[in-house]
Amino acid sequence: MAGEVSRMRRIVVSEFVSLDGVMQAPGGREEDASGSFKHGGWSFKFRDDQVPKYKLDELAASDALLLGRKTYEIFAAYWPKAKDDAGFADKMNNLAKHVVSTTLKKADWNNSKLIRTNVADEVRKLKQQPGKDILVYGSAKLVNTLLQHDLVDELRLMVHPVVLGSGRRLFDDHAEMLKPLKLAESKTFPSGIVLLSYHQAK
Amino acid sequence: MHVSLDGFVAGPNGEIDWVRFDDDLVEDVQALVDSADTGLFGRVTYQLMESYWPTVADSPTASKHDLDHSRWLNPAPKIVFSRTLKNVHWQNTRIVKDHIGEEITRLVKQPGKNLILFASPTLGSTFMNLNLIDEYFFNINPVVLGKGKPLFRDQSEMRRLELVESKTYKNGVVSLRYGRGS
Repeated sequence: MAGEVSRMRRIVVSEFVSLDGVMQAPGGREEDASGSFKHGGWSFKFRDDQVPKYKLDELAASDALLLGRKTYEIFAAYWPKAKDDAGFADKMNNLAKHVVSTTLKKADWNNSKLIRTNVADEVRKLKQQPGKDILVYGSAKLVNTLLQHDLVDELRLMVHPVVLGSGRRLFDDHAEMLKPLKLAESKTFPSGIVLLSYHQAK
Repeated sequence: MHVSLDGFVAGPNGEIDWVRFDDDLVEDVQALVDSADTGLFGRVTYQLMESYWPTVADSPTASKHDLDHSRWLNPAPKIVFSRTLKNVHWQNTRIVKDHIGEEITRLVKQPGKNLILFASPTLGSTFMNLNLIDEYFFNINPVVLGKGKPLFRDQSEMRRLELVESKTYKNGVVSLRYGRGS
């Protein structure tokens, strides 16, 4: 649009986490039962009508997904068959997907591309292209890589009011990093979920 | 309890220099402390505090916060839960070695104000497993530490909490207050 200031595309990491930082299988047991995780689907205990609205707006501000292999496989098994009145599934299926994996042979979900090597460089290239936000859901390993390389422009945590006690955590426990962030927004949902949103500290 | 975004209460060597304070936050923490009349500690936190608070008011450079906090902390009854600690050198302190659940249940039944557990993540996890905690206050700091001393560990079961309040401070700290879940 004429007059609009061009800016680089942003990488937006958006996660459902428990109070103890677990991000494994928020949407259902079948997503990921590794490590004998028995709380699959935990996020559904805390839904309210504002959360789907928020997630839909978030998706509307994006035109690509950047995913790790595990989350990609979970999504690719679910979304092509999904349908909803709000159009969330259609949007998920139509978005461009960038999948980071050294092992995946092919990525069949509509509009998918593989990133096999030089993750940081490839993500930097994506950011140079014109477009809207690039969304990262789940993908804990990838998120830690992106954080290490200062490639996360916004980190959104939907903190659920529950301590799970087990499961894959979003953040590596033994990472060599100390990253101060800048609080961009905090918002409380009726279900007791708190959105904490951070930008990179300049 | 001050917590990093990735769930640590201290760095790998106990560092807490990343904890952000401002006047508003200090005021709210002091109000929380004033709602209690007894301090509870794990050994590590107790020893850190015992080496600082008894003499802090003697220092000419003591801040208002230090003075306010020491006026509460020094005379207050203090209980340190430890199987290994032999002696304490801070006034009005006693050691409890075991039967934590019974001890807390007995204290809660006595008339008085609240019991407040300071930091002490290991003891806090034990309290959680024994279902002893009525309210949780977390000050979420805008920093990813990468590694350190975790807040929650070894929780034996899933525990639903109820969000009571959230408050955002100018310095980027978000304070979350939870009660027992239903």
